[in-house]
Amino acid sequence: MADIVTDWAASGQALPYEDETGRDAFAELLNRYEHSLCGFLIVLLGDRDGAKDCLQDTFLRAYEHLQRGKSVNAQWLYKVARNRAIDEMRHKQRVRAEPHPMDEAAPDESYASEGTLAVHRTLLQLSSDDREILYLAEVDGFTSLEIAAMLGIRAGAVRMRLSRAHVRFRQAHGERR
Amino acid sequence: MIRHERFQMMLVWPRELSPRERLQLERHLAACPDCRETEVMVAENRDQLRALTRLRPPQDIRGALLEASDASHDVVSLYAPIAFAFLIIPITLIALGLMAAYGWVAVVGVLSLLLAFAGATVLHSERVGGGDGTPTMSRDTLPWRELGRNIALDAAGVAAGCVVIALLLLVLAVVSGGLR
Repeated sequence: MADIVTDWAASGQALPYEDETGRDAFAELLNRYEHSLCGFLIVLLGDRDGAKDCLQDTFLRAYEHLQRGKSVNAQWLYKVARNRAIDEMRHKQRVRAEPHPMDEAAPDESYASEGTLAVHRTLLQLSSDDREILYLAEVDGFTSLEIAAMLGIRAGAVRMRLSRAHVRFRQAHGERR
Repeated sequence: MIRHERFQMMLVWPRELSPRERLQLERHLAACPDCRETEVMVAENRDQLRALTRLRPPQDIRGALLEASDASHDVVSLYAPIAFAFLIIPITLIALGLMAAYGWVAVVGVLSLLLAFAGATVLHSERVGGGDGTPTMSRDTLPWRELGRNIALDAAGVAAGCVVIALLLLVLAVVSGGLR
């Protein structure tokens, strides 16, 4: 999946607008990005239900975009998903007085193994900035330029941020052991 | 320290290095145990983070998305401002004609027409279905916000059309009055 995302994003191509309603393009969009985008949102939000809502909203916006004859590419999709996740996090902060103990969330079917859950719990100890940069670069394989475009920051800042996020991930992982 | 930071940044973006930078990094790693340690750390982190490629989406999400996109498609295609836009001018002319004859009743008539159209969309949505007769959307899944926005846009379009045509008539009246 990471390879597909990277190849497609690197090519700079937009999804083809294949039929009158964009349904073919939408099905293709789901095939390519359902897993990776869902993983990104679960990591960013630490909440499976919230991730599901954001994923649904993101894909519906993509569908409407396609119906208007516009194109959708990986960066667009991740940017929309990220903005939606930020709204969700703000909403949670307003609703909840105390931070949610997400790192001790019960395992569910999202996690293929205990190892995946352990990594996820480590990530949840980091800031959302660190989580998103680690996921986008190391799991989805986006380049620093692509991430810079998604986050609206300079590529140099992306490189620096990933380097520091690696150090903090290692520290958090050490503390959990 | 700054020098180390530069090489540590290079370590996390190995695919983006030029041949020259790669050579510089290799030379530095040969001489710097701290950066070699960082290299090992980044490699271990990467191995662990790759486990997240196996994060599974909720099982019901795909079906829900396809269902929701069907609902969105049906509403948008039944009631899209762009599809309705070409009616704005004739509706405005009819509204002006009616207004001349019946006053503000015409405005109420146009609004009623819009509401009736929206109501028909909602009622029809229950009957749109697949080959097996199951509805592809119900009132519960209608994107009400989208529908409301489209109705508001159309109403604004009709109002704008009325204003433009009224201004044109006013200008014509002034010009023709001036000519007399």
